[in-house]
Amino acid sequence: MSLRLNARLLSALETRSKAELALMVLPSLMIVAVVIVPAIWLGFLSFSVDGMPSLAHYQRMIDNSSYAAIFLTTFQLAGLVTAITVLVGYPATYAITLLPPRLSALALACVAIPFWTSLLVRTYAWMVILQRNGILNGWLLDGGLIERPLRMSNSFFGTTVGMVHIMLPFFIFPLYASMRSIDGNLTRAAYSLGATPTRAFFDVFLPLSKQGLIAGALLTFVLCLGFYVTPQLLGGGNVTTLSIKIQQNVIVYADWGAASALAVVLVVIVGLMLLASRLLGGRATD
Amino acid sequence: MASSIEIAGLRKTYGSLSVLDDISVSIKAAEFLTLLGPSGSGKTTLLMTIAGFVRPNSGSIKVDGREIVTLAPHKRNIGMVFQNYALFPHMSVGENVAYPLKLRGVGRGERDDRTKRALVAVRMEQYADRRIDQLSGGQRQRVAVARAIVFEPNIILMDEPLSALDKRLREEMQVELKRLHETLGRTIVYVTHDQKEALTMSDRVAVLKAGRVRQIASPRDIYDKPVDRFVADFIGDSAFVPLTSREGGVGLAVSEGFRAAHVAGKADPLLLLRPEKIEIVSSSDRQPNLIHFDGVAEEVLFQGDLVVVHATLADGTRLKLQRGTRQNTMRDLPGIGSLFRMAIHEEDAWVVSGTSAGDHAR
Repeated sequence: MSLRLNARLLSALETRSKAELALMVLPSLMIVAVVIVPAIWLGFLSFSVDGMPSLAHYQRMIDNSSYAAIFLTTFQLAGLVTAITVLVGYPATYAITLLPPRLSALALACVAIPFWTSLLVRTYAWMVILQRNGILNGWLLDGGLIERPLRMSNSFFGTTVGMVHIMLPFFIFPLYASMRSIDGNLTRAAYSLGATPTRAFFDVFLPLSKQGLIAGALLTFVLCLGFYVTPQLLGGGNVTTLSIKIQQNVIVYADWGAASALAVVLVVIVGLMLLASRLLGGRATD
Repeated sequence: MASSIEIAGLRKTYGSLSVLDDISVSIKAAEFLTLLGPSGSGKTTLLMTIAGFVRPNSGSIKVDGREIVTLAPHKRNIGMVFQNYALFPHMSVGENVAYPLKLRGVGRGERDDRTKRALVAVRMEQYADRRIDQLSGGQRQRVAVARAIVFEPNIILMDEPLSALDKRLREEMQVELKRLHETLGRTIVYVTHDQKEALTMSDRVAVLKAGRVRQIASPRDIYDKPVDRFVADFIGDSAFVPLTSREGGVGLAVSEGFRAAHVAGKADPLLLLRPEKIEIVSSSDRQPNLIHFDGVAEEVLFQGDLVVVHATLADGTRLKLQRGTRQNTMRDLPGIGSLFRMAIHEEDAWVVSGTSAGDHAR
């Protein structure tokens, strides 16, 4: 008797788990409707002119030399910002891991608080600091270090400074997590085997934090490639990145096809980079 | 070859907590010394101080007469096996073992040679190319040992190296480490909280409690002649029965000869009763060299190789006695709830003082 009851209950449970599975289909449908369909539509736009299939948008990128300059600027900026972020961020993160727990929590808060502050506010803050009659120029003039104000905003320099500041948390947090997961006894073991602290760092700590370093640097680089607000405001029209060009194509020329083509190229480049890093990373851990 | 270690007046405090409280220990060259104690006794801190990872507040550590207390860890030339092995996950087994040789600038040929020999010593020679995460716990343990001995340090420190292994493997490794100690002839300082491991492996055992060395002696003396109730309690199963001078009072009566030899000068003397030293005797037994006491059997537990009887004495003391499980010993076991007579030979009896400092550790 009870066996028959069990069978009925079990089959009811089975039905329920199927229903739960069906329920989970809804969010994925939403993602398809809101993200994937528009993306495909944009991709489609990039391959058409006036409703006819065409490669004109891509052809223009090759023919018009200004596009090459834009790509170059974008990658130079992303590369430089990433390099500075790594050079500043790695030692900073390492120092945070060495602090006693309470101080390291405080240091992380100092990284997180600007991270939570609006991107726009931080960019404007940098404008206030870097502009011609801004704070930094004021100090330098008062100190007699310079005779005329330096041009720091509306430039590649200003953009780089602002972006490094904004990117640092994106680099520091994943790196911190990866450094924290390194067993402290490993460096101790290296000491006990005769390694100087410097040697232990390069032989043991650095290789073990490499994964976090690469992940953080890659994240920084990819975010930089698509960065719009900071190059626009701190570049002051003198730094034209891909994202700025896309915005111009849409707002100024109302050319969605041209904008989409740039976006497609950017997506493909980022995709290839992620793939390459996956392959390289995979080899490193094997 | 092996080095002696002379530790004197070592103190370490964290805030108001005294982790090492005036520790002085002499470790002979080629000795296997185990630091044994409950958690928080300071045994690991003491080991880390010898390694150089913990800087004491005061005191001295001399190796072959040379002061090392201010020396950086990497200059001490002391091999160390960590509790979780601390093998470098980004290096192969062979690279891990070769690392200390590489640091010392040993040439390629000799390095390969010595790496191989160290791996042979721990029977891991066919695993040289393996990655660390491909090894089992016991294999990692062996690699960690190989790495700690390959540069031929005169002193090797081991911090609970077997605690992560299962019982069977642990016992196997105990024998192997002991054999390795004999063949290498190095000084080994070993930390464990496992009293059986300490007794099995060591030349001498130092029992620590609250940052102090309570007793340092051979395994047999630690077990049979503990200096105080804490040491007796920490090592092995033990029950304590008060002694009296007159028969019929509270506690047990012992002969004048025994009293003179063991009880004199000890305040609040307690007889230490270990399960395997207690015999079951007939209720009329009155042999002169035995100390007799009666109890009620509460529990008789058959464990395969042993049978354990839990009994309660007239004064409420609970104790265990154990015997082998041969047919003739199984026959005269007391029934549960029955009164029976036990005895311990005066030769096996030991008296500790019940009022020494820091008692009632449990």
